[in-house]
Amino acid sequence: MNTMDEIAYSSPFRDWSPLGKLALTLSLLVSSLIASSILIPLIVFLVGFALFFHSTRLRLPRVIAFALLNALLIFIVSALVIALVTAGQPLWAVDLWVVTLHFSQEGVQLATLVFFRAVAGVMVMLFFAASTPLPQLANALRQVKVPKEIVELTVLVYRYSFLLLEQLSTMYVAADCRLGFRGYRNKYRTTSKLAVNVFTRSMDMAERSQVALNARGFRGVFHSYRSPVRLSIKWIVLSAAVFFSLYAINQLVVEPGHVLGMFKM
Amino acid sequence: MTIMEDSILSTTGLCYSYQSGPFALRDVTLEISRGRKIAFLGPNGAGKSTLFLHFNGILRPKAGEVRYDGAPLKYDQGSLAALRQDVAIVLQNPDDQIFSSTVEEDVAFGPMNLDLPREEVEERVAEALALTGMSELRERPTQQLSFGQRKRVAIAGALAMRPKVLVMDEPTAGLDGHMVGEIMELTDKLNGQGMTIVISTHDVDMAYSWADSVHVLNRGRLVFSGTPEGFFNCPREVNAVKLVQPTMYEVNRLVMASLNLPEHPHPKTSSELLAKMSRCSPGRLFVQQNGSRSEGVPKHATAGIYGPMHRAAAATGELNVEYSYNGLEGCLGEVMLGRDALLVLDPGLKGQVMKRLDRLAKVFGRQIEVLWV
Repeated sequence: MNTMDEIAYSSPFRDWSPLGKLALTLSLLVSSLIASSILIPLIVFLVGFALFFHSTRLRLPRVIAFALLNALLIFIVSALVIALVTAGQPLWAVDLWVVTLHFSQEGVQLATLVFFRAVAGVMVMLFFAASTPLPQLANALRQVKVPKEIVELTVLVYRYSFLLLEQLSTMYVAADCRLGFRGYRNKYRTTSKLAVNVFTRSMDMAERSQVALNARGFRGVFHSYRSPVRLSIKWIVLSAAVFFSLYAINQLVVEPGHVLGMFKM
Repeated sequence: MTIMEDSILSTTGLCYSYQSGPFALRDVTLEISRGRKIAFLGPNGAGKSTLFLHFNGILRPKAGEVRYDGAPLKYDQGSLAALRQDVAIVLQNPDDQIFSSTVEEDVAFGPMNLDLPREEVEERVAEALALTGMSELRERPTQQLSFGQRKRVAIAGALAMRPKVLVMDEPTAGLDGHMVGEIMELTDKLNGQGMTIVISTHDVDMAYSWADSVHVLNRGRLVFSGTPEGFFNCPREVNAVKLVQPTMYEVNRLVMASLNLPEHPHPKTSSELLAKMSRCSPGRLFVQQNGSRSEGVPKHATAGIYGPMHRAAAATGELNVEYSYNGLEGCLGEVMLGRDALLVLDPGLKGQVMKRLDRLAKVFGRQIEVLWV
C-alpha cells in the first residue's frame, strides 16, 4: 500500500517550491471560504482535483481514502442539518408522520455552499499534502524565519515516527502470534502493553541516537544539505492573481450590477 | 607495554562500567595496527560495542587510556571533533544513526557538521554514495529503504567523513549473502586505499578469511590478540568464549587427518584449500580493469567480478560473468583447478589481488601466471 509519504515523494510537483504551493493552496482555500457564490468552491474543487489527480493518479492509501469517505459523510450530515435549521422561504417539506421537516430555500443554498466549500478545501489541502514531503516543508519554513528548533524537531519527529511505527507493527505481529488480541479484555491489556513498550523503546532509541549524533560530529545544528526551492515572486503573483480572479468572479456572479458599475466609473 | 610504531589506535589498562553496574571492560590493553583489517570476536555482552565507543571518544574510560596516533585522547570538544573525523563508527543498527529524511541528506550530515565548503560536501557525498553503490538512490526517503540499503547509507555516512579508521559494529548482521560479500569487498577496497578497518562480528568464517588479526573479548576482558590461525588453533579458548571453529579450518583439519597429512599451512578459503591439495598445475589468471571482455582473453576463461563498479555493468547484462560476487575467490578457485579465469577488477583493488597471490605463492608454493590485459 502506498503511504502518503511515498505519494508525496513520487509526485511530479515535488520539486515545486513548498512555500509557493502553500501560498497557492491558501489563496484557493481562502477564496473558497469567503465566496458567497457556489461557483467559486466548485472552481476551487475542480482546480484542486485536477492538481491532486495529476499528483497522485488517485493512488490513495486505504486509510486516507477511508478518512475522506468519513469526512464526506460528516459534510453531508452537517449540510442536512444546516438546510433544516436555517429559516427562510419554504422550499419543500418531508412528512415523517410524527414530524414534518421543512427545508427553506436559504437553508438549502447555505447548506450547498458550505458542503462545496468543505469539499473544495479538503481537495486543495490534499493536493498540498500529496505533493509536499514534510521535511521539505519544514526546511522551507527556515526561509520564512521559523525558529530552527521547531524545524529540526519537526524533521526528527517525522523521521522517528516511521521507526516507531515499524517497531509498533513488529510488536503487534508478535503479540498477535501469541493470541494477544483474543477477546476484548486481552485486546485492551495487549494494547496498553504495546503503548508502554513503544514509549520505553523510544527512550532507548533516543539514547542510541545521541551516541550516533556525537559519533557523526554533531555540533548542535542540523544543517540542511539541499534546501527546497525558494518562494519566488512568481508564486506570490500567481497566488494573488488566483485570489483576486476568484474574488472578482464571485463579485460578478453575486453582484453583477455593482461590478459593472465600478467599470462604468 | 611498548606501543608499536605503526599502531594507530591503542588502549592501555582500559576499564569501563555503565553507571553503577559491573565493569563492562576490564583492563583491556591492545593495539590496532595502521592499514590493517582487524576483527573483534566474542560472545554477546563481551564488551565489543562498548570498546568501540571508546575509540572515538564517545565513552570515556573509568581507568586506563586510549591513544590515537600515539597520543592519549583529549576529551575537549575541538579534539573530539578532530578525532571523530579520523575515526568513524558505523553502529550495528543503521536506524540508530540515520537522522535525515533522504539518503544524500544523511550522507551529507557528517561533512556539513565539519563546516566544509559546499563543493567539498558535494564531492564527498558523491564519492561515498558511489563507493557504497547508492548513487541511484540518493534522493530516496530513508524510510523507504530496505535494511541492507539502510546499512549502506550508514556506511556511506561514515565514509563521507573520509576517516583514517573505519570501525563497524557487526556490519554483516542481518544481511543476505550477496550484501555481506559486497560489504566485505568494500572493506577490501578501502583497506587497499590505506584505511584501517575494524569490525566486530560473530561470523567466524568471515573473520577467519578476512582479518589480518583478531582480538577476542570475553566478559569485558581481552583474552586473545593475534592472527586468526593463532586463535583458532586453540580449541579450548575458542570454546571458552562460546565461538565455533571456522568451517574451512575444520574441513582442513579433518581432511588432512584422514589423509595423514600436516594441518599446516591453514587454508583460509576454498581456493587456498585447493592450492594445498590440488596436484594439477594452475591455470592462467587474466586481469582487466575495463568493463568489456578484452581481446586476448580466451573464450573458455571463467569470468568473475571483484568490485562494485563492474558489478553494476554485469547486472545490466553488459558483462557476462560466472561469478558476480566474490569474483576473486571464484577465479582463484578456477585457476587452482587448472583452468583459465578472467578477473574484472575495480580500480583500487589491485593491492588485495596481489596480497592473495602473494600468500598463495609464499604459503602454499603456488605461482600463478597473471596476465594484465
